Amino acid sequence: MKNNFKKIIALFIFALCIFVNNKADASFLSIKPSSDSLSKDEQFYVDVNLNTEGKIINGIEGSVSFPDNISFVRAEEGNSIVNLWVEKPALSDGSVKFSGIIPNGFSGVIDPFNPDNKLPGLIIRLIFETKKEGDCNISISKAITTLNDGLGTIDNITPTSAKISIQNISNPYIYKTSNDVAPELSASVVRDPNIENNKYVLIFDAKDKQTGIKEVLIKEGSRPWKKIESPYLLEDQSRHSIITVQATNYSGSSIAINIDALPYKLISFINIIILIFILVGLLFIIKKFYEKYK
Amino acid sequence: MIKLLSSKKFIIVLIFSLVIAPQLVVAFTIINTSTIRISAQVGTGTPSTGGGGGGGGGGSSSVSTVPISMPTTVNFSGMAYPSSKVTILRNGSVVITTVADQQARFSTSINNLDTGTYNFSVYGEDSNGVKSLSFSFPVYVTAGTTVNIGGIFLSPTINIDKSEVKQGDDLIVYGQTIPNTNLNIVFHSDQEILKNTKTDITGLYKYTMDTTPLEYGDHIVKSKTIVNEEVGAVSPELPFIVGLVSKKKDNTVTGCGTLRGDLNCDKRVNLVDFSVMAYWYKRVSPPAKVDLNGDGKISLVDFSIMAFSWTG
Repeated sequence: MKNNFKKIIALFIFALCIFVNNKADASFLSIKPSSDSLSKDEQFYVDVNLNTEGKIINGIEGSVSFPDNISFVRAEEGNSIVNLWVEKPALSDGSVKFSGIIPNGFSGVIDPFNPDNKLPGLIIRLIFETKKEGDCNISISKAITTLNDGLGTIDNITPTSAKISIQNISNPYIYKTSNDVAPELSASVVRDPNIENNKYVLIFDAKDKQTGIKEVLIKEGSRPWKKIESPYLLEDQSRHSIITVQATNYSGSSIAINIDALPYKLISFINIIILIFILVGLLFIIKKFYEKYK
Repeated sequence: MIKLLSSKKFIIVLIFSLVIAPQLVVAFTIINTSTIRISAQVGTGTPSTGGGGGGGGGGSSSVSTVPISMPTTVNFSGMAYPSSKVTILRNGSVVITTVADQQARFSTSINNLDTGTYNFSVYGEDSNGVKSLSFSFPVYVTAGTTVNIGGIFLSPTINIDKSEVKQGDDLIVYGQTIPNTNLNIVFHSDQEILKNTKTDITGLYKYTMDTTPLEYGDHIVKSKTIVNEEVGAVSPELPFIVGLVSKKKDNTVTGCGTLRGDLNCDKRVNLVDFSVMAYWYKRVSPPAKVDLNGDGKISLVDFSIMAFSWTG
């Protein structure tokens, strides 16, 4: 009995250690502001980085909250390790929400000059502007990652935050990321029974290595330019319009590609024969009418 | 209680729990990438001050002063399957494909990259079109440098002829890896069963397992390539059941292929499939084919399952 009790206690401690350690080794997000002491009317950035703690992560979603003495300007995802956004970082209900995937997974950025030391990966750079003096707490309240295990196992992330203080001095400053690289864009028109009832949709992937993509526009034939997201249901389902897709980054550089229209089908030989029969028939009827009422 | 806390056995268990258990947790979550060597050198074709650059010499690096505007190159080399197709992805898109030689060796390069972080992935396809696990390398590339990613050892492919096997019937385990090498076939049952086999000149292997010693119930099988008496690479795990009847394995996941996430049945998992899933994100009643985990909604979990099988 006494021995059994010892075994139970030992087993309990072992399980507890595994549980506690598993929590400690969960991947985590860090928030790094460009400065922790700022003036009013000053734009600054906050980098959200992922440290996987040796795990291979292929999905991340989260929400960044901030108080009302700063305002959100934009999110730059140009240097992000996230390759495809399920939800592009955007302001929603007072916080910046994001969700995306890293195909085949991510376990830390390798610096080839120091390959043994893996670095955290940038998820997003958020640009804010200070409004009122005082302390400001920027936090990641809800965030999860998924393991690259083929099962989508969820790995919860410990909440984290960063504190900055805003002085009562006005120092207007506009934050600008230098960008000398044009965006990349690939697009194609597809039909799939699982999207929009098998109608023609445009899918695209727009990337920019520095500031990120500001917007993607479409022009179908003579129709006006329109801001779109992928997948986009084409207005011209006949596909007889030339499609132009244009992606623009935050520094104003853009790239455009054209997708050819489908050619009009030539009238088939059988159709020509049928047409000839119809014409001959019509001529015969007209001739009959003409002879009758002459 | 005090007596218990001071006993020798208890102290040993406590030390084991504090020191060994954490290592076990980490070990379960890290993929074996011990053979991969990554190194870099500034510029190409110029004298360097160190000796570790070209060919990926065990992670060492060399830096020298070179002219500006040297090409930026990432070199990949490793072992796949004899005469097999090897695909390299950059940030999820196919950037180059190459063919391994008859000894399963492959090497290829990507040029003209800008400075930045790139997520490179490598996978191979065996002679039956079965894809290996993908290796992923998120690398920070600086303009004017050459990065060498060497020692890539693609996982062996694996397949079985039955999803359920009648106890006592044979189960055939087959796949492909490098030619003329030893291979472990590992059955995870109540007790781990290890069998040895060898690949032929084309890298193919086939092992017929007598299932008499296996218990009724769920089992898992995987293969391990052995190179120089060490495990070179490990295949994905395949589940099977030992039961009362034998059932032929259906090699389709969604009715159109083996890849989970191939929603349009083109034997690839890429932007088209992602777009189909993105269309149903947060919409009600997604098609069963799109809802990969079958929970009635499209969430990050479904995208994660797709990202695991991504082929570009």
